Amino acid sequence: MGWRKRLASNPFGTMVAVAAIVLGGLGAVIGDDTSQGMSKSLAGHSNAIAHIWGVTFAVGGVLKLYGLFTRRVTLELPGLYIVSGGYGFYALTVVPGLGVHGLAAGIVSGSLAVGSLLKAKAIMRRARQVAAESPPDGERP
Amino acid sequence: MTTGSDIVVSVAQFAAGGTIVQAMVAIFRRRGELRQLDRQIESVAIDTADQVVMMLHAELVDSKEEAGRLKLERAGLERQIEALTAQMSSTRTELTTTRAELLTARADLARKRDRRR
Repeated sequence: MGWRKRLASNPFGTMVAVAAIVLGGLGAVIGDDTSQGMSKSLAGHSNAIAHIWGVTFAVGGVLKLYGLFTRRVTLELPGLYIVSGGYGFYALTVVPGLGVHGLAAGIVSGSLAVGSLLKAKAIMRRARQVAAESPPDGERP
Repeated sequence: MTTGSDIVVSVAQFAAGGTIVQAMVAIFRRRGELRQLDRQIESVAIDTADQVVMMLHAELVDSKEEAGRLKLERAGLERQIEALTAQMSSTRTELTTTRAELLTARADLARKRDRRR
């Protein structure tokens, strides 16, 4: 299956990962200037934390995207957890930083965090089912 | 910054750290299960590809059979055309002969009329 078909069959998952890569890249490069809400709420260590957040978020996005497009849940799942953490972190820092003005960004980001977490849980549940149905490694014919 | 905000930011840091730990747990402790799922997804993809190839093969065989039938049909039609062409040329020959006979008969008739006069 080509990348176009993969994109057509997983448009939301792809865009969640792409947004994580772009936002994470911005955070990694320009630090706390990426988000006013984040820099306000993390006053003091905001720049260092924004860099760490950006790198982690971008790495999560890359893992999620690569795993999704190569059908490797061993990469997609950790990517999903990290992306979920990145979105969750942004949602929980932008709202205290900007107050009511940060609600829109916080809600969108928080929803993506919950969505990523639910997707990760679904993959984990499926993996457990498959492991229960088939014999473990080494016992396969 | 208020105490409430501090708490929320702490929760955010805890949540982000928690998801990284979760990701590491997924990589190191659940790797076996995830690999099995990878293999299953791969085998499902291979099965689907196999089915598609088999369908295409069946379609190819059907198409070949149909092409053979059409070839036979075409050969039959060509034979029919040849027979009709031969029939047409013999009919033309007969027509020419009949015309010549008719002309001869007319000439004879004219000669007989001349003699009577």
